[in-house]
Amino acid sequence: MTTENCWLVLGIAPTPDEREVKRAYARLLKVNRPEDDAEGFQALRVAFEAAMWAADDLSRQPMAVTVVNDAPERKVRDLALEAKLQPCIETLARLNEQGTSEEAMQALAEVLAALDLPDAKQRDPQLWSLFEDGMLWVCCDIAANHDEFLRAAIEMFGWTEPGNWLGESDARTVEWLRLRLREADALDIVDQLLDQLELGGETAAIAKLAEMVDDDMLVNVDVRHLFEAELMVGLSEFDPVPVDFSRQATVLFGWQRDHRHLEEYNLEAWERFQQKVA
Amino acid sequence: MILGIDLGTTNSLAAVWQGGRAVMIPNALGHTLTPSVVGLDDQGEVLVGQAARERLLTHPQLTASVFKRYMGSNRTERLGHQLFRAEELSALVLKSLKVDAERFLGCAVEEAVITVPAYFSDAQRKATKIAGQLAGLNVERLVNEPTAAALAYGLHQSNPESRFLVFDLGGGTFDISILELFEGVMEVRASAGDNFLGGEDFSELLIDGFIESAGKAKGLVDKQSDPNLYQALRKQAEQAKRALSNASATTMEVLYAGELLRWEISEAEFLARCEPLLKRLREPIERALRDARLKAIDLDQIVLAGGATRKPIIRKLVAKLFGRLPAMNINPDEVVAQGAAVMAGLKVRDVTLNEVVMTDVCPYTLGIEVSEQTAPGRFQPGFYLPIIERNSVVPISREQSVNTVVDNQVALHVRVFQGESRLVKDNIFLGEITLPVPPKPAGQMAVAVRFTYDVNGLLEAEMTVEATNEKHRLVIEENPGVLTPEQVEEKLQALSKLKIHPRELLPNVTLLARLDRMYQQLLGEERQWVAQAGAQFQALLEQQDEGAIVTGREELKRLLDQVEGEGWL
Repeated sequence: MTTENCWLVLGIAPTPDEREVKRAYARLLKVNRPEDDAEGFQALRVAFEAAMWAADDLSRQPMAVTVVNDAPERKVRDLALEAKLQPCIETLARLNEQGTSEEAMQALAEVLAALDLPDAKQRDPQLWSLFEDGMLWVCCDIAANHDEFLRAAIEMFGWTEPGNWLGESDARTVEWLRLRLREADALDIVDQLLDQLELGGETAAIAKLAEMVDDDMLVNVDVRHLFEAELMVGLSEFDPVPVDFSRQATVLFGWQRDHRHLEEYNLEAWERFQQKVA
Repeated sequence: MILGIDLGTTNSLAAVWQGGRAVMIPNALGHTLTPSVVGLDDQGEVLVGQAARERLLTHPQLTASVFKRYMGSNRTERLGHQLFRAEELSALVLKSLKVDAERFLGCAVEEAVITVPAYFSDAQRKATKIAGQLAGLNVERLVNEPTAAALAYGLHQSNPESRFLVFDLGGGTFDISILELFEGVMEVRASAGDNFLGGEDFSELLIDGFIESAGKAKGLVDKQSDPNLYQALRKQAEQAKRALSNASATTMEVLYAGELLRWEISEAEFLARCEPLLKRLREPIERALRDARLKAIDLDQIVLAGGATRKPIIRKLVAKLFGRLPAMNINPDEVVAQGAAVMAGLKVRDVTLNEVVMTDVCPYTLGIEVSEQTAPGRFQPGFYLPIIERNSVVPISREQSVNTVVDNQVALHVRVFQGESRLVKDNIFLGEITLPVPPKPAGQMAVAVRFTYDVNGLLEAEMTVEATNEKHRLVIEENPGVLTPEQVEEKLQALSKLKIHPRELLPNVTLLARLDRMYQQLLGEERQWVAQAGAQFQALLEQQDEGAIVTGREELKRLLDQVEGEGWL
């Protein structure tokens, strides 16, 4: 099905809005029900899937962006305070995206000192709470934030603790932060394993890996997924690759059976890994 | 009225869509769960449900259970001097549900929606349809169990847009489905499962542990050597499983060669023994999430279905796997049957369900065997060419072209398989057909193979020889393990000759069977007490005073529950 046709079948103009596509599909689905009209349904389904891809493509194209501030109106806004905080938060965001973990942590310490922040919690609750909003934004919306930075922020504001305001207003975000913490712990283990391999301790690393596979830390499906992916990427960068360890990881995590998550995470690394192990 | 039926490995249930909601159907004992157990009584009459379940221990040669596991195979079970296939035994369970429904609704019921594990194969689905037919039910639709559970949940969602995962661990099967809800559409994004993993396996673990720790030393090595003993062990394991849900240790006891064997098992040891089974739960979950291109954190809710999800170890594991607590607003035993009732409501276009449309997927890949070139001019058979990829939305029709591999090839042998392995030998064979093709040089004769998979999960294959436009259809009906229409007719005749135990006598028969079973299990004073209670009840029955019988029966049930804890429903 060509892209133009799919919009025709759905009866809507091309749009990057997946919701609109779904709405059009849902409306027509009530006419072409899968159990009554197999052919009509299949045509509709093909159009729907094509339109969802096309919408995704369209949404990636650069266009005028309207920024909507959908943050909960938790506090009274103070423009002067915001102007003072904004550059600090922007620096922290930038260093999380482009700098090293040390740089980001250093900058955080500087911001805290410059604004006399930990003490400001009592003295100037408004400043503190604006700072908290900014930090939450860095932690949740900056995709590449550093684990150490995230841990420090979560500790500072107690976001994942029971009774924290965040859990009451936005439980999903707290769930997400908890997951990030677990992922960070798992990635520490990946680093340890890779360091051990670097130092030639392959036997010990294999033993540690065998232990980790059944560890509580890796029961969560998302954490395990990331652990496997980062381990694979790390291994693919070795030259020569520790073959016994790599084979062991392949068997323990069933990578022969299903490695789509690894391909999706980093196709190049996966191909390199396979070549090196073979 | 279409009946919604959950035909389970351990228990079966029925429900109907009435007045805008799913209404559960009670059986002759007033329960919504009917054990999927079938037996013959001493007069050769058929007993279904709790009475038969009690007799598993006292009359194992006359009683059959867990037969859902043999659906779609030629395996038979002997009851007395007769052999039964899984379809026939299932038909007797379905028939009993049908009679209960007719009694409850006050009208004839001839149509049904039956649920099957999402991962049931083509042969298993056909066998289920035949079971319905043998029970006098026209099976309007087969629905995947987790999809049914999701339907029941989806209707109760306050949030009109959400994604959720159904974790369905029944008595014998494990299924995962991921669903998305939007604009009144319930879309199954992916399903995955394991047809041989369920609550019954946890019982087997305990039985094996018992043999190992308490049996071996006394010469008890093979759990299957004596059917009475095996059923006694199963009952003990069942009770132990329950006890371990809220105690840190429990004891299993069985009488063997005049000696009482005892084994104390702690919760920790049970957990350690469960580890391999718990690990097997992970793979279908990962596969379903990857097929749906979702992370666990993207899900709005985790929904539990199936009796085995009552176990604290399962709930704890689910919480750890997904990093959050699962939802349990609907009774996990009933949720699949409720979903079947919703499907029945959709089927008759009930006005209360006008705005709901459901789409499901084909949970496994379907394809054919092909030869691959290993060297110039050399071909090796045995490779798998997928035609319909797993988790495609159904109904679906897909075509692939294949070519001849040798010069002047005169025939093409098409073998159809289901499964995910690259080599067909590791996939499930579904059927085959040989078609003549006009001779041409190798690779120049093409045949288009079209697979059509319908909403009930049944497959049709059509081959078109491109040069001649000649079409061949392969209706996969006579695959191994599925009865032919003639055989179905024969079985119908045979089943109609069976006498079914009168329904109104079931409450009494069930209680008598329970007394027999308890007498066999207990020792000493308790045993004497059961014998006396049985004699008294027997005497009461002979007086034929219906009112007195009902009162006496309820009183006796209460006393028996005190002796051995709530019944096992």
